[in-house]
Amino acid sequence: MFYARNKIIAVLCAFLMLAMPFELLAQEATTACMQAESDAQRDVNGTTWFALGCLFGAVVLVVAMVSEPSPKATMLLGKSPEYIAAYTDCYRHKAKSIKQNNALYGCLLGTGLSVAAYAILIAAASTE
Amino acid sequence: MSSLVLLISLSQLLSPISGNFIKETKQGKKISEIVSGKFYYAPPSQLLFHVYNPLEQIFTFNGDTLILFYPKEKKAFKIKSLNPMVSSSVSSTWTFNDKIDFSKLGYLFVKKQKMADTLYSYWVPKGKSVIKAIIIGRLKNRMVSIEIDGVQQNQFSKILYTKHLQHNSFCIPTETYSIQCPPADTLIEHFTYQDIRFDIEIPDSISHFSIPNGIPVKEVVW
Repeated sequence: MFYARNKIIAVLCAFLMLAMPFELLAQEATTACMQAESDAQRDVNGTTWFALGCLFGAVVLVVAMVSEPSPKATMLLGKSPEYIAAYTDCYRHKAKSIKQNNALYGCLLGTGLSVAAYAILIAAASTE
Repeated sequence: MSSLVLLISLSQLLSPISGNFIKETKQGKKISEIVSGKFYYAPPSQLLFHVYNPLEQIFTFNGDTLILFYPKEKKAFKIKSLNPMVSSSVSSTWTFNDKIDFSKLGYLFVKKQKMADTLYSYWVPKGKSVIKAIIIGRLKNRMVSIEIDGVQQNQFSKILYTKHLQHNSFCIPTETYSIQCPPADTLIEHFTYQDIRFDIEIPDSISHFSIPNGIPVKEVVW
C-alpha cells in the first residue's frame, strides 16, 4: 500500500514536470496573442476604415480584405520563437478583422444613405 | 515614412559602428520589459541587433523583410512586409542626419516656431494620410524630437532624442524615447546606446548575415 502510494506520487511528479513546459508555452502564446490584439487595436485606425467604407463602398471592403497590416518591428525584439509565432498570427487576424468590420459597417451605412437619398429623390419626382 | 527616414539616414553614414543597447518598454500599467544586447551597422544598409537578454536572438532586416534567428533553438522567421515595416522607434534610433528633407517624403513645409531654445518646423502631408502633421524639434542644429499627430483627436506619437554624440558631421542620439498615445494604452519604448565605437571591423558573419543552412524558417507575409 505504502509503495503503491509512493509510485502514484512519483508518477504525478513526473507528469507535472513534463507538463510544466507545455503550460508555460501555452501561457506565453496567450500573452503574445493578448499583446498582439492590443497592438493591432492601437495601430489600425478603425474610424478611417469606417469613413473610407462609407465614402467608397465595396472597393474599400476588398482593399481591407486584401491589404496586410504592418506592426511595429521593435515589438518582436527579444521575444521567443513561440511568442513570435503566436504574435504574428494573432496580430494579422485582429488587424484584418478591425479593418474589415469597420469598412463593412461604413459600406453598409454609405449604401443605406445612398438608397435613402435616391428614394427621397424618386418620391419627390413622382409627386411633382 | 519611417522606413524612408531610416534609409536616408543610414545611406549618409559611411563608417561602420557598433555598441551595446538596452530597450525598455512600458505599456499602460504593465511592468516594464527590458531587452539588451549589441547592435551593429555596416554601410550601406546592414543593421543588426544581437539580443542576449532575456534570450539570444538575431534581429536584422533584408530590404523589406525582417529576419529573426534563434541560434540556441535553431529556429528562424522571415517576416516580409508588403507595407513599409521598419518601426518608428527603430528608425528614430538611427536618425543620424539632421538634414532630412521631408518635402522628399511627400510633406509640405508649413511654418517654423521657436519655443524656448528649440526651433520647431511643421510639416503636413501633401495627399490624404492618417497623419495630420509632423513637427520636428531642433536644438542647436540637432534633431531633438519628432512628433507625429494623427488625424484622430488625441492620437499622436512622439520620439525624443537625447544625449547626442558627435562624430564627424553626424550627431548620434544615444537615448531615444518613443511614445505612442491612444486609442489603446500609452506605449513607451526607451532605447539607450552605450560603448558606441566608430570605424570598427565588423565580422563578415554580421555584415553579410544570412540564416544558416538547414534551419527551419517560418515565413510570414503581412
